[in-house]
Amino acid sequence: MKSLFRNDLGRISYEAWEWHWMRLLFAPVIWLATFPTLHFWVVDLPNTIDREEPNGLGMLVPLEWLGQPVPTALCALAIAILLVFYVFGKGLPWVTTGLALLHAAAGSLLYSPRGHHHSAQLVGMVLMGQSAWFLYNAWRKRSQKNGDTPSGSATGAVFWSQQMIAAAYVVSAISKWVNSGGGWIPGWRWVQQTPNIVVQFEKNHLQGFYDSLQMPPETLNRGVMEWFGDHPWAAMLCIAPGFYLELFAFLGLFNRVAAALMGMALILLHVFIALLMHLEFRYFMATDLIFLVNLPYWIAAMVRKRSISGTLATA
Amino acid sequence: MKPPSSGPWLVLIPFFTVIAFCYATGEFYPFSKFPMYSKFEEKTYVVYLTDRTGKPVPTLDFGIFASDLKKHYGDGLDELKKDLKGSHYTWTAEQKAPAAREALRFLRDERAPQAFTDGRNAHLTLMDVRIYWKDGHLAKVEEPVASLDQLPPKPSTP
Repeated sequence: MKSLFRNDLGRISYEAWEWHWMRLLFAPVIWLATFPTLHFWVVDLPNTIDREEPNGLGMLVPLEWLGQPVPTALCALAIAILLVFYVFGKGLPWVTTGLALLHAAAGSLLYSPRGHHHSAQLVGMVLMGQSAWFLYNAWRKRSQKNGDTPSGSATGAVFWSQQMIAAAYVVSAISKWVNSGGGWIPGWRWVQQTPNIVVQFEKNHLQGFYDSLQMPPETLNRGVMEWFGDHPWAAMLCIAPGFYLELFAFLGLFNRVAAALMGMALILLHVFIALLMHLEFRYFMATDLIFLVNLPYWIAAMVRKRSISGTLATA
Repeated sequence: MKPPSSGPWLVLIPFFTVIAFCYATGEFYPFSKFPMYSKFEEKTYVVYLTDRTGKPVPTLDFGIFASDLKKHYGDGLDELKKDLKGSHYTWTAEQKAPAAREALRFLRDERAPQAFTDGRNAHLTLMDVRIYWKDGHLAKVEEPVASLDQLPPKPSTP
C-alpha cells in the first residue's frame, strides 16, 4: 500500500529490457493505427483531404498525393522498415522521428475532416513524445558530453511516453469541464448533464443500425439506457468517476504501482464506454496497457519474488 | 532520468507542453482537445438514407458510416448558421436542405461515385431524425430533408 503513495516522480528507473518489450508490443499498434489492416498488400489511405477542415500536416502542405497507390505503398514500406529498426532499438532518434512524421502525415489523411475522429491520436502523441525525448537526449549528450546508459535512455523514453498519455486524458477532462459550462468545481456541470447521455445511447444505437440495417448487439446499452432514464442519479454516479479518472490521470506518473492501477482503470473505462456507447478505443487501450500497466515488468517481479522465496525456503 | 535540482516538477515539462499545444492548436493531428462528449444536451440528431420508396438504405453501401454522414451534414448546418438565425433544431426542412444536398453531392461525386452509375440510387433521400429527452422519455421526429434528384447532375470531366 505504501508503494502506491510514494512520490517517485521522474525517479522511476526503467530497464532496457522493459523498453524493448514496450517497443515490440507498440510496433503493431503503430502499424494498425496508420494502416488499419494486417494485409500488407492492400494498404490504403484516402486520397482526399477536406480542404475546409484539413487536419494536422495537411493544414500546412497538400498531402493528397500520399493517398495515391504508389506513394501509399512506399509510405507503408518505409514505416515497416522503420518499425523493424524501432523494435531492435537501432537509431531511435531518427527512427522515432521518421515514424512520428509518417504517422502524422497518414493521420492527416485518415482523420480529415478535422475533429471527426479521435481513435488513434494517442499513438501519434506517444510517438511524438518518444521522438522529442530521443532528440532532446541526443542534444543533451552532445552539449554536456554526458555518457548515456541503456537504462537512462529507456527511462526517459518510457517516462515521456507516459506523460503524453496522461496529458491526452487530462486535456480530455479539461475540455469536458470547459465545454459543459466551466464552474469552480471541475466537471460538476458535466456530471449534472450526464443523465442526458440517454439521447447519445439512442443516437449510437440508431447510427449502428443505419450503417448496415442490422441491429447492433444490445450489450449493456439498452438495459442501462432504461435504468439511467429512470434513475438520473445513477447516470451521474456511474459516469462521474470517468471524468475524475481522466482529470487525475497524471497521478499514474508518480510510481509504478500508480501507473499500473491507472492504466487498468483507464482500460476499464474504455471497456465500459465500448459496451455502453459502441465506441471502441482499441489503440488507447493498447497504449495504456503497454506503457502504464507494463505487464512484463510485473510478471518479472512476480517470478523474481517467487524464486527469492523459493531460495529462502530451501536455505 | 533524474529530476533537475531546481525542482522535480520540471520533469513534467513535456506533460504541460503537450497540454498547452493541444489547446493552442485545437485540432492538429495527432494533437487534439478531445472534445467528444464534452457536453451532454437533451437533444441530438442522426441521419439516414432512403430509396425512392422511402425504404432505408445502408449507408455502408456508399462506403460511409452513418455517424460520418451526420458529421458532413452537421458541417453543412454549421455553414448555414452564417445566414440563418437560431439553432438548427428550430429550422424547417427547407432551411436545412442545402446542407443535406451537399452531403448527398459528397456521396455521389466524391465518396461513392460507383454506387450511382446505374441510376439505382438516383432518388436517394437524406432523412433527418431529431431525438429529444424530456421528462424521462425519448421522443423522435424525422423528416426528409433533400433528395438527390433535386441536385444538378455531376459535372462531367473533360
